[in-house]
Amino acid sequence: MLNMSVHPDKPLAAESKKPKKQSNTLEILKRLFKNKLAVMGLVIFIIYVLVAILAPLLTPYDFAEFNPSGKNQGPSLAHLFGTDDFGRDILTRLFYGTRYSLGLGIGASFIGLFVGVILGCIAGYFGGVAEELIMRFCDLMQAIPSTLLAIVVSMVLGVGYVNTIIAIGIGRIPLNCRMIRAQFLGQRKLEYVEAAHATNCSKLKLIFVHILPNAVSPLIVTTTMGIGGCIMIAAGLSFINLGVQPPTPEWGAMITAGKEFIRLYPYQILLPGIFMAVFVLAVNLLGDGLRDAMDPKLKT
Amino acid sequence: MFRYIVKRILLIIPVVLLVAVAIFTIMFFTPEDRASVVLGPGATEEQRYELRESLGLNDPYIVQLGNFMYKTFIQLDFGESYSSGVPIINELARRFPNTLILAISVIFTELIIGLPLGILAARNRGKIIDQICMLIALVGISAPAFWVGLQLMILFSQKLGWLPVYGIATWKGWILPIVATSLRGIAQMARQSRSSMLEVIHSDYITTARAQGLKERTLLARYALPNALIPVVQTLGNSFGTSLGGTVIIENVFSIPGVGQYMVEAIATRDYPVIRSTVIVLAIAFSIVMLIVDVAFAFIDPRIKAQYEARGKKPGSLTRKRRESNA
Amino acid sequence: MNNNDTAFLSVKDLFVEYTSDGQVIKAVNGVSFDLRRGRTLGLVGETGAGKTTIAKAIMKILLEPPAHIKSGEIIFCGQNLLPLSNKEMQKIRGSKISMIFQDPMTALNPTMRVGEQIANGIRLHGGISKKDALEKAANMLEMVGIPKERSREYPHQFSGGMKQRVVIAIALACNPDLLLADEPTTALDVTIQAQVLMLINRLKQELNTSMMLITHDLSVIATTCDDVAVVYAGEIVESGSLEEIFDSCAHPYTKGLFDSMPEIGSGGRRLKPIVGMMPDPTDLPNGCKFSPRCPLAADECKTGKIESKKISGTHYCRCCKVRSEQEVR
Repeated sequence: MLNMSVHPDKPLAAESKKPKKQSNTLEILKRLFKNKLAVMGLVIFIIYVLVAILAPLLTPYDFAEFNPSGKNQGPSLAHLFGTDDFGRDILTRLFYGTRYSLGLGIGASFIGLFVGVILGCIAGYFGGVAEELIMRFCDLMQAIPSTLLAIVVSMVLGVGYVNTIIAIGIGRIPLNCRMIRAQFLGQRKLEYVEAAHATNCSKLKLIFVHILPNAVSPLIVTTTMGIGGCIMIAAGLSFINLGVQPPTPEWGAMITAGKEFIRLYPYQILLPGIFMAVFVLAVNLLGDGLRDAMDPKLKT
Repeated sequence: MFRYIVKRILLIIPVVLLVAVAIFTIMFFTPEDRASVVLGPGATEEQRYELRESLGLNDPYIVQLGNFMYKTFIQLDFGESYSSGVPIINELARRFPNTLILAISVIFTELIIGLPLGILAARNRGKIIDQICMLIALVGISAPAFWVGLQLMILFSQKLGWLPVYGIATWKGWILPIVATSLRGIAQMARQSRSSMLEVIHSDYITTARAQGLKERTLLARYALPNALIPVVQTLGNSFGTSLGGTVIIENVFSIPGVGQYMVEAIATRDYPVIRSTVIVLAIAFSIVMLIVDVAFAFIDPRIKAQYEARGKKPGSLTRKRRESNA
Repeated sequence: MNNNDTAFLSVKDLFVEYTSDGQVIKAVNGVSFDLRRGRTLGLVGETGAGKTTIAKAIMKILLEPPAHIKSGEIIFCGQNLLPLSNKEMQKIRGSKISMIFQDPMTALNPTMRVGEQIANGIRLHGGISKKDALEKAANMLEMVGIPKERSREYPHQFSGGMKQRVVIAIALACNPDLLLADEPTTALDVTIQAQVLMLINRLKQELNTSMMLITHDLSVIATTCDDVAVVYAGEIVESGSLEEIFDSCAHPYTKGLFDSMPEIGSGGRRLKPIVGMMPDPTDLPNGCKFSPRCPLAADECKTGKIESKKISGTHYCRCCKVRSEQEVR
C-alpha cells in the first residue's frame, strides 16, 4: 500500500493539514503492535493487572497480619523484598497494593474523564453563558498547580482512599473539558456539520456520531498517561500525610511508611518505589505508543 | 508592545483575587472545627464558642470572605498561625526567597539540560543516541521527584557523604533538591523540544531556506530553533506548575526552610490560616510565571505579538487556546 | 532531445527511489532531457508522476533517507552535480539554481521578517554586509511588485499571492541562471495565478533566467513555456517544443491529457477523462507504464523497454505505436 507521507509529489505540509481520517481500529492495533516499546508497556501493564487480580494466589503471606518477630528484615529468599516495621512481607503488600494503586489511578483518571467530557459537551454544545462559565471555571482550576489543588481539596474531603481518588480526579477535569470543547470548536465550523444540519440530523446525533469519535484518540492517550500521573500525585500526597493513609497497602503510602527508616532500612523505600516507577513507565510507554498508533502523521 | 505588557500585568490582578477567593471558599468547607485545633481536645464547648467568636468564625461566609480579602490584600496581613501565633507574613517573607531560589534554579536547569538534550535527539533521530535520550526522558517522568530525592539522599549523603543530608547551610545543600525536582522537567523539556524540532525541521520554510543554499547551521539556529521554541516555552511554564507542587514535598524531604515546608508543617497541625496563605502565595507565583510565559510568547512569535498589538485582544483567550492545544 | 550545443542543463538517465516501511517506491525511472539556455521547459503530468522529485534531485535537496538517487547524471554548465558534496551544492543553490515551491502559505519562516529572509541568501552568496543585503532585498521586493517599506513585515501579514511573490523574490535575488518552479500557481486563485505567471515571465526576461516549470495544467504551459516534456510514472513519455506538442502531440497519454481539458464553447459536452489511474510506483507494470490505460495497447507494449523515438525536429515520443521519423521516410 502506498505510504502517502513519502509521496514524491505531495508536499509534506499538505499532509498535516488534512482532517484526521477515522482509522480502522484494526489498523490502529496493527500499528501499535509494531512498536516494540509500546508492546512492552502493554505487557507490563497487563502483568500488573493480573497481579492485582490474582494477588492472593501469588503469595502465601497475608498483607495485613502483624508479625513483630520478623520485622525489618532485609530482602531474602523467604521475603523477596524484605519485611516492614510490622513484620509484613513487602512484596505481598505491593501485590495487594496494586489493587489499590491501580484503582486509584484508573478511578481518578476516569473521574476527570467523565466529568470533564460532560462539562466540555455542555460548554461546546450550548455555547453562550454556559460555555463562558465553564471555561472560566477551568481557567481558575488550572491557575492553581495540580498538586496544590489536590492538597487543598484533600483538606476539605479528608484523607483516605476514596477521598484521594476524588481529590485528584477533580484536578483532571479541566484538561478533559478543554479537549472536548476544543473538538466542538473545531467541528462546529466544519462543513460536514453544516451538511448534517441541512439534512435535519438531530443535534444529539451530531454529538455522538460526529464529534465524540474524533475526540476519542487524544482522550484515550491522555487518560492512559493520566493513570501514571495520578498515582504519582497520590504518592506525593501520602508523603505529606494527606492522601492514602497506612495501613492501606497503597504504593505511595508504603513509600511514606518507609521514610521513617531511611537510615537503617533503605530498601523499604527503594523497592516499593521501583515497583511503582516500573508501572508508571509502562503506562507512559503505552500512552506514547497509542498516540503514535492513532495518528501516525504525528509520529516523530 | 509595552502597552500589551502593562495590560497583561493589570489582568493578573483579577486572576489573583479570584484564586484567593477560590481557595478561601474551598477551605471554608473543611469539616474540622478550627477552635478545637487551636485549643486542643481539653477545651469546653464555651471556650470553643468564645474563640470562634473572637476569630470571626461564626460570621456568615460573605462577611468572612470580605474580611479575609480586605486583610490579605489591602492590609497585607495574612493573620496569625494557629499553632504559634506568629504573624504569617513574617514567616512567609523569611521563607519565600528560599522557595524562589529553588524554583528558579529548577527552571534554569531544565532549560539548560533539557533543551540541548531534545535537540540532540532530534538531530540524531532514529539513532542510538536518540533512543537512549528518550528512554532516559521516559524514566524521568515515571519516577516521583520525592522518591528520587530520597534515593539520591541515601546515595550521596548517607553512603558517600559528599553532600549534606538536609538543610541549606552551604551551597552544597541545594544540589540534591534541585536535581531531584528538575528531573521530571528535564525529561518533559527533552521530549517536547525533540518533537518540536522534528516537526519544524520538516517544514516547508526549511526547504525554501535550504534551496537558497543556506548552511545547515544557519538553518538550525535561525530558522528551526526560534520556531521550535514556541511550544517549548509553553512546556517550561507548565513544568513550573508541576515543579511548584513538587517543591512543596521536596522541601519537606530535604528540610529546606521554604514556603512548602511551612505548608506541610501546617497541614500536619491543621493550621488553616497558614495553609491558606501558603497555597495562595504559591498560586500567585504560578500566575506570575504564566504571565512571563505569555509575554515571552509574544516576543518569540511575531504573529502573537501582532495579535495583541493590533486588535487589543484579551490575552487570556490566547492563553486558553494554548492550554487547549497543549491539552 | 539530445541537442548538446546549447544545453546548459542536461539530465541523463536519472533514477530516483524512495524506501519506506520496507517498500521501494520507484519515483523516477530513467528520465533524460535537456534544457537550453534562455528557454523555459515545462514538465507536465499528473500528481505523483515524479515531477517534483526530478526538480528536487537537480537541487539535491531530496531527503536522503527515504529518497535515494540511484543513478544518472545531472550536468549543469558542464559539471555533473550528482557527485558534488553538500558544501559544494550550497554554493550553487540560490546563486546558480533556485527553486520555488508549491504552497506559499508555509514556504516562509513565520518568525523572520521577509526582507531578512531574502537578504540571507544575498548575503551568503554575495559576501556583502548585512545592511547592503537588506537594501538589495528591498529592491527585490519592489521588483516583484511589493512596496519596499514592507520588507520589515512578517509573512503572516501578506496574502497568499503576495507570499508567493516573496518566494519568487527569494529565489531570484541572487540572479540565478536556472529557476525551477514547482507548481508555483497551483495553490493560488485563478486571477492571482495570472498575475504571478506574468510576473515570472517578466522577471525571466529581465534577468535572462532559464526556467523549468512544473505543472499539471496545460494552459499554464501554453502561456509560459518554450519546450514541453510530458512525465508519466517517472518517465518522459513525450517531449518537444511547445508547437510540436500542442499542434501534433503523438503519445496516447498526451492526447488523453488534451482531450480531457474542458473547452469554452464546447456546448456542455461531457468531459472525457483518461480511464484508470496511474500505476502504483511500488509495483510498476512491465513494458510501457501507460499500457494498462492505453486505448492502443497491444502485446508488444507490455514487455521490454520502450525506447524514445524521434518524430521530427526536437519532438520525441516513447510509444511503440507511434512511427518514428525514420520509419515514416
